[in-house]
Amino acid sequence: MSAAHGCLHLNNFKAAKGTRPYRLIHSFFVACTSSEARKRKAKSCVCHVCQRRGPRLHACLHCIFFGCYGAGHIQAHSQQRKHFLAVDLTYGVVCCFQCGDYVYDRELETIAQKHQTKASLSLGLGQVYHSWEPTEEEIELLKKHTRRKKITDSATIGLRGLVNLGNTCFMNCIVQALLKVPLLRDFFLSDRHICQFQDEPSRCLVCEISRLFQEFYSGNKAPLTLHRLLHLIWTHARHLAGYEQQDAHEFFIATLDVLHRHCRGPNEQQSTQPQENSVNRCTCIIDQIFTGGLQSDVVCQACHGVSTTVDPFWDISLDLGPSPSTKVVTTGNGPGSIPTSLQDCLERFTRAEHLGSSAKIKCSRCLSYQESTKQLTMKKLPVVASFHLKRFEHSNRFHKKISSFIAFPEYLDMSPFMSHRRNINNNVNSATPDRADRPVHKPLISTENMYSLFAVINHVGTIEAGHYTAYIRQHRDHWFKCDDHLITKADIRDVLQSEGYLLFYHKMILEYE
Amino acid sequence: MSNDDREYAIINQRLVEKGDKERLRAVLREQLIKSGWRDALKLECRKVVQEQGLDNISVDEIIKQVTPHARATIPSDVKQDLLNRIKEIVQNESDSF
Repeated sequence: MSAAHGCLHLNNFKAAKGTRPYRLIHSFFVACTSSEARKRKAKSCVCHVCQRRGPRLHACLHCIFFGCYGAGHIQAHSQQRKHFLAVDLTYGVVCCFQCGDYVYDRELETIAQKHQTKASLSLGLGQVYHSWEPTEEEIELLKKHTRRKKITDSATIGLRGLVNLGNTCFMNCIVQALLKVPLLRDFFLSDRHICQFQDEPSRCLVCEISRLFQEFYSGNKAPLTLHRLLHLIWTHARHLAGYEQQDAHEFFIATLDVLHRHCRGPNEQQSTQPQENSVNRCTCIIDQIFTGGLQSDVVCQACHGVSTTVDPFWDISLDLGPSPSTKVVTTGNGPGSIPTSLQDCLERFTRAEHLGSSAKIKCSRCLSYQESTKQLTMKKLPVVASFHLKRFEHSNRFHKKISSFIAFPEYLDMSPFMSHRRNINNNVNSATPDRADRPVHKPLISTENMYSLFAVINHVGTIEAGHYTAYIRQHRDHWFKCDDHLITKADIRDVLQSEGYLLFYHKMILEYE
Repeated sequence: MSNDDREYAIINQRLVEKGDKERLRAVLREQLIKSGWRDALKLECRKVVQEQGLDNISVDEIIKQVTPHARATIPSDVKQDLLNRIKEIVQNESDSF
């Protein structure tokens, strides 16, 4: 095997003829960058000796000749004509027959990568994923810092207890969950944040989170004190200031909001033109991870005209009490039934709801005030789906906590709650989300809308006085319980049996954008 | 060329022309990565390179040594899925004549 800069023979060839021969062969016969190229490839990619398409068809880099490697026809050509370089037409790598092996070449690889991206986009396949390659600068950095951290399956790096500063468990548990979001970790550990507070970075909440990631992954095991974070939240979200107990959910939303305001999207000025029906999205890391699109369809009961809006959301708050009897759909979990699982709650959340005679809305189609139904469905799923089980009931007469058991799964399929599946306007029986509208052929990737649980926040105690703890997932399937400064090992069964107040799920398959 | 060869050639030509072959490759690549097949194969290759020594190894040699095992370990549902997809494309293609 040769080094990264190719072999002598290839370098001589490039010096004499440049990269044009490779460029041509690659763009026409390896990664077709146009439909014209695809036609040519389809027609002419056969071995000139045996007329077959392989195995391992190669093109001579010196002259117009295709030969298969499997039956030795390209090798024979190379010997006969003394043409020692050939391009593999499946992968685009160059074979040098004088060296007797394939050779690496940075320059050619860069060309190939460009073509592949173009080819993939022309077929509507989206960006191709390329694994990370260090740049010259990064190689230098790596040489200077020879200490490597090896992360084994049982490593506890990334776990740190958090000191309770007096009723600050609501903050500790949210921080524990946020620091376990893989995309956030990658973002911060690769130093991608550009601070907006040039003159006083100490006011930036994103910088503080960035610092926390450094602390969590430093290997130090001593519990951390989040006084700076708390102070930043107090200054930027004044309604949370003070030493009282706070609601973890409220803190979570306030934190996301402040982070979002302090973040600068990577390409805010050249944001793509808003597509129809798509959620107008900010490109900051918080919105990339947490924002989904919720579709709301209001159907006029007189003319059946539909008005559709899509709104962004960061989390979904789910009712736990008996459902009001104004729901239109009565099959399945009828009105009055109490949800017992997360799926029940979501089913109820996405059910068409009768708005009643007291809430007449002016229909944009028949222009009269009519009764209508409203249905919420998932238009766009976020990378991290956060569910808030409304365990605290506040009414003007009483405040109480609902402690009923709500089952939630380790793996959650969101497909039944998607707009195209569940929407009443698509003539789908909205009461049976599990069976309705299942395509005859299984979809390309059936795990498309699958989520896995990675953090659960629990509240113990009463509405007046209580304590928050968090279960978090480390690596693939190790669970830990974070109770302020104490971190103990936990079992997935403990997690699934716990009460659950905030549930955090991560999308299992991510699309490249 | 036999009849089978000729048919294969026609189908292949169609798949390449319309870009379906690239699409199938993309799906297949993803499935193999997801199933862990690619990671296992990478380890296998690394083992071969380590055994032979970096100076005595060629791509041909690695291919020779890992191919039987690599072929045998492709998950059968991945194969079946690919076959179904090709069938479906060919079916649609012949319907449109």
